[in-house]
Amino acid sequence: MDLTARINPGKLSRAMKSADSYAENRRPGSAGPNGRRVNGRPDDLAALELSEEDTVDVEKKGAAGYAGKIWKPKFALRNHLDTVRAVAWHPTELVLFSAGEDSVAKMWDLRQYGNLKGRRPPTDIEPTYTFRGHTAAVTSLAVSFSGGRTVVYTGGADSTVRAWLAPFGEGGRVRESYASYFDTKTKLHTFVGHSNAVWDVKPHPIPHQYSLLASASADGTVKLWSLPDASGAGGYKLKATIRPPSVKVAPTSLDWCPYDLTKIVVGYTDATARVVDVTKVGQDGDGEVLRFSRPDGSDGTPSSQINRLVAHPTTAVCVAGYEDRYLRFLDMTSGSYAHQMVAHLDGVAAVDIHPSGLTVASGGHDYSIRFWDMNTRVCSQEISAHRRKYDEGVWSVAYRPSVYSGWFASGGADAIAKVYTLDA
Amino acid sequence: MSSLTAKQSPRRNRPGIRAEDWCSWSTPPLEEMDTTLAFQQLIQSRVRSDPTDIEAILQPPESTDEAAWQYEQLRQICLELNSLVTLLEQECTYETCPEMKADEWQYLCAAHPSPQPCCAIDYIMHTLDGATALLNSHRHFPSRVSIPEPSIKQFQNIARRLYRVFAHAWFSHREIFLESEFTNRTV
Repeated sequence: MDLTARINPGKLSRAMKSADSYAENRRPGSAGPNGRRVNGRPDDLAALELSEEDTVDVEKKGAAGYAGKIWKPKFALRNHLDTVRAVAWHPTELVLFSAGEDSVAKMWDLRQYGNLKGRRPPTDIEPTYTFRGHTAAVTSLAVSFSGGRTVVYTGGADSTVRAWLAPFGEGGRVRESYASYFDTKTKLHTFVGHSNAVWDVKPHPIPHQYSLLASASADGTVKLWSLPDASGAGGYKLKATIRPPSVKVAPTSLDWCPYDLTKIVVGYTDATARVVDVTKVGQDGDGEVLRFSRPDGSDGTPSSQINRLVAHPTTAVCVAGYEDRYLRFLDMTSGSYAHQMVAHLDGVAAVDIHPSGLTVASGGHDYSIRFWDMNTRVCSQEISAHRRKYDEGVWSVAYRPSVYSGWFASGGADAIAKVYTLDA
Repeated sequence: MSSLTAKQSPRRNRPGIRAEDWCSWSTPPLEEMDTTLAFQQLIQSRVRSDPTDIEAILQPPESTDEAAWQYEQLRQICLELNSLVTLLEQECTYETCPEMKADEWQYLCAAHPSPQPCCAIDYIMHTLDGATALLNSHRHFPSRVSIPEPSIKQFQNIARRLYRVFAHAWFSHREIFLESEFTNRTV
């Protein structure tokens, strides 16, 4: 991948054209009597989402992904009572976690459904456990696995970050859904320090080496917290606070950078982003080592903000989804934008990169999920995934974190978390 | 009309917004909500505008499917009950309440193949989990806009069991009950 390339106007317009023509080619004639126009295009999804069933429309587009394999919906996980804001996989087990605006997070143990051997998947799957404690919407969720313990971190609109011990049954077996809550100790810690809604939370990707947690809040700051190490030594302490680059700007999303594990990349409500060296916070410049000024054509308001960013697992690139419908590839060696393209018909709310680093998934408020080839940026598949509540659609997408993974999940405004597998 | 809606900023809680700006938009009239979640949007907007005006919150819009309306009300009750349960959990333990009692009545937990004498906090959590699972069951409630006739009778069972949570809180944890009643709800 060409990391140092500035945006090449020819390349860019071709990419935008391909994204646009791609959009226009979707399901001809499906606009129907309820078809509306959004941004001048027939909104065929409006007709789609009126269907009463959770029909998922899977289409194979353009280049075939993975030698003809495409993502197909496998389970619809229904138990949240309001919008699902975040989904995250267990690092090693086939266990999914979800968090929602109903103030709870849930654990879904799918190991018993991992290989159905041709049987039909069950209609109703119940969560194994519901994490209760937040007093407002849970906006963000991350899972870490270290020393045999699975710790779930959640951030909420109640200004807190919480750490939970994921309950597995004896010997790591599936926990019974209606086992005693009273006997199950899951609450590890409540991090108090942010003064407004928390919007993202990320433990360091190598938890046994760096006992650190980063959180982003509407109070404008990113906070770094130290965690007890695997042996339980050390406590939960506020370590550093990264102030916003300017007033009235808040961080929306952050990620640790695998190319340099002392750095985090943070996206902001004014469409800017920056890379911060966490070992230099508090010194001159607050540890900022690189700044991405707002992209050309962006007005620097929340209507063009970064909604979600993810650092690439093997190169110094970060992929970010913006409220102005763009996906942009941020070159973290130069501070420039390596590539940008209109990726959805409405704001891009969710982004994830396959652990192989070869494909990108994006979710948008046009209710769709799209899969992109990382190098050619060709869209290989689109799934119309979630139904709309207000003007919200897909809020979260997540590849299962294994290079050989054929599992994927999404969460959306219809209060459903969906699980997909890669099938021929 | 379309140019108007295009200019209005989307009804969306973007990442980064402050808690006080949550859902700070005007709710469109029901007939303009072209989503299967219209009832949920309407109920939540009424709760936000005045959580104490129970009558207004419960009033079904004209010519609506009453079962679908009741279904969404039950979902909202389960959603909000979480705040009471979260408060109760700090005080209601196996030691304080080894049995699920309200006044002189003892209840057995119906979340198990055969009813069990769970301690009060387990009974409460299991009952809320059970109600949530039932309301989200694709088998019983395959759609949020049209409720199959045989599923309607589940509403009474759900309401009867959930009511006991309030009863236990009232008789055994009065301060928490009152605190929960007077705390502003956030939806």
